[in-house]
Amino acid sequence: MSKIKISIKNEGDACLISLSGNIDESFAASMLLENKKNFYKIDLNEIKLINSFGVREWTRFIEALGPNTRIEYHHCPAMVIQHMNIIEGFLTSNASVISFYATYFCDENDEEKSVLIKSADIKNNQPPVVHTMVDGQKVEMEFDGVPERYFKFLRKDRK
Amino acid sequence: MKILILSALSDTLIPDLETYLEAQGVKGVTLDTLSDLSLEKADFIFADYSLIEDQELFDAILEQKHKLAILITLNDYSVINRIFYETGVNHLFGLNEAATFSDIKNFIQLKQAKNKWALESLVGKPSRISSAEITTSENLQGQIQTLLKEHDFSQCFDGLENYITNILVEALYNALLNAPIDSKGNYLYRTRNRADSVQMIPGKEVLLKISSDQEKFVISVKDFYGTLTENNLFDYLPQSEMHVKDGMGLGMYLIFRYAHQFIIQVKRHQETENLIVVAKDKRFKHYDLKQKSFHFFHEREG
Repeated sequence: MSKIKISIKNEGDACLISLSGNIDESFAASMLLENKKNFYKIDLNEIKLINSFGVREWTRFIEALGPNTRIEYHHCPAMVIQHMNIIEGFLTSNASVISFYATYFCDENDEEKSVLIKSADIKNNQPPVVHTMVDGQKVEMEFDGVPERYFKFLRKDRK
Repeated sequence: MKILILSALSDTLIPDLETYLEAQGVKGVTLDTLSDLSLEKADFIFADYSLIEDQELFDAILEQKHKLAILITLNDYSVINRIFYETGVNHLFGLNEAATFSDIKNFIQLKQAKNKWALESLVGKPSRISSAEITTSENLQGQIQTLLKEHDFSQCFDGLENYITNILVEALYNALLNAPIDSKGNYLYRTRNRADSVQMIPGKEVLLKISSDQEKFVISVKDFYGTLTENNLFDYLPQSEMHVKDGMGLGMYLIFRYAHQFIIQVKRHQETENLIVVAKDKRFKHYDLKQKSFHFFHEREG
């Protein structure tokens, strides 16, 4: 399993952070706090696992930034979304998810597809329509989740 | 054994259970509602958590908590910490109208037979079992991956291996860091920085078994300290108000949320076994909606 790898870049007023591997014992909040900014864009695309230690350490990082810091999460894997949905306080009110992955399934050919979705495209808990090809025919895939549960992190009243 | 069912689903649940128990040849079990059997005379009680709205009845039910299982809904999963705290019960079953009640059926059968839960009885045949003695917390995830490679994930949705890894990490850290005590009963590693690895004392290695059949994975994580009790169960499990800062309860909460059955069996000062069942499914949706149950059994010394 891979330990956390971190890339930090400054882009104007924003700090761009890309993380890959696991947010676990190998992660410390102090790794990201050297040069504080008021706006963070955090790319979680390559995160494989976040354990309870990682959740607590991540919360320390977010708390250290303060409530007025704007945080955007990009490319959130399904497991991160699940954590956000079930762990109160993991997704703070100053943070928003810009894009995330969700799984679609096609019963006809047993195909599973992970699809990147922009949060702005979700209206009234309706997942975007995704197609696949089965025997040369365009077939609509089924969103593999209960939208009201999976999109809980998008609700303002998610607590 | 007289079982009292206090549930909005009792009209479905009771006939379903009766049919199942008869088919299995289980004798000596009667299932009743409150109009037929009093709380005091029941040998075991299943009661909806929603009955908490009738405070007088719920208080009377909780007086029998040594023989009580609480039935919760999908929406209650996020507040199991509060339910444990409020009720002090040792058994929870997730239930909804689409349920097959399979966990309850197994529970009644085991109780009637006075049997214990065991990995071998939870897994079907043919099955694959891999095991390891975990002597150190170093490279824990590497150790887990080595064992998981021996199992078939082809009938599972893409992320299930990750969820199982997460469950195993949490269960093993509890066994490695939270269970060990010295001869005076002081916890050895609870306050240690988790980035620093710990070594188990020879003879006290954590025993990990991963078993799988066509339908599920069954995991056993056993430490040889047996330090978990009803009193500190709530230190392990989430506190009254779940928050990420609430210490080591978070790991146990994640196990509950990502597994389908979570059974803790403690022999005081001897061993604690976490038995964890995760159903196989090609669809995340089915995995997410499947019923859950939690059980805590405590066998005292002597």
